[in-house]
Amino acid sequence: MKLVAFIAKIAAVLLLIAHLAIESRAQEFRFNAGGGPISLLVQTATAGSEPTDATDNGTEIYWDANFGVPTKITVSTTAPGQSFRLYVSLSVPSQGGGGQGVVKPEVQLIDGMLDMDIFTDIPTSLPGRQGFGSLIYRAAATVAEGNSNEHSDDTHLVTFTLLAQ
Amino acid sequence: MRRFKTISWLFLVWIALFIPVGFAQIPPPLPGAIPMATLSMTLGQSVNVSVQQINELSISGDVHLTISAATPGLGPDTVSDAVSSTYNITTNDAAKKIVASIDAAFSPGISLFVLLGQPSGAISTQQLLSTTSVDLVTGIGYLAETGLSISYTANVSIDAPPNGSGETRTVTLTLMDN
Repeated sequence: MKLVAFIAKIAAVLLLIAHLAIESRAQEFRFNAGGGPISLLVQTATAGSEPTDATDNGTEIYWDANFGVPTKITVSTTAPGQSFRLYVSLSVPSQGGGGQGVVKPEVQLIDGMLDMDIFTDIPTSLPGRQGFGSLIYRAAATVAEGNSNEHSDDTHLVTFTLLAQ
Repeated sequence: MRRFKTISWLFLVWIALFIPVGFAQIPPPLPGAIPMATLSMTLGQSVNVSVQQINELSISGDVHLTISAATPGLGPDTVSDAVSSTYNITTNDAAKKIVASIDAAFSPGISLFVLLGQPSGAISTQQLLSTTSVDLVTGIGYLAETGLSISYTANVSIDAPPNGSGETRTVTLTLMDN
């Protein structure tokens, strides 16, 4: 019976170690809020001025960049027949040690573009490698670019990638 | 005892199945290896951008025109004001025009003309204002301009009686399809 108890204790310890090992090796990259389709509507202007930009900041992403090397987040899009302009940036709040990295300037999303950095220098260790941030989309259209009645709407499939830097 | 054996076997199976996977996710780098972007995770989101037809027109400034003199031998002088009032326009659409009308006719013998400053690529024409809309600017498309002039000209015929403190009329400009 003592042997049984001993084995059980060893098993419990091994189980705990295994869980911790798996946990510490996991990477995560997911939507924390939002994540569904977004619709941006440019519909107002002050007389004499260009149309007012439409914005959306309802999407939040979370990452745990446990790749063992510094990592970054990039963005690209596919938008066949694109007529208007769309931009995205990542706003990362102060997270008490988490969310470390360098926020890059707003990126213009152009159909077929190469991946562009929006957040770089994510460290390899905790707590800095974990973080979250809000995606800020901004749609813009000058009067010269016309309207959707002439060109139809732009539909983007925006891809964010967490990868080694 | 049998129950304990079962639990032990299940535990061993769990160890065999999952621990190697947990440790195999990131192999240790080789000495001197250059980190490569071999691992990545992606998220996708659909974003639709729609731009509505936007047509905006605004006017600023009131205009006061007083006819109070005449050249001997001729009728009363014509008076004009091209600086008191301006307009701003935005349209992201093609083939627009601006029409104008007044809310009520002036007394017989009094005439009010208006000429709008010409936006880029459009054609402006001076018109006599009445309660029926007339085209002032045609061929407007895809522009955003401010401070465009509105030039009013009033005249009165010799047989029109004085009208005291004057007659106030509201001029309505409308941006619409050609």
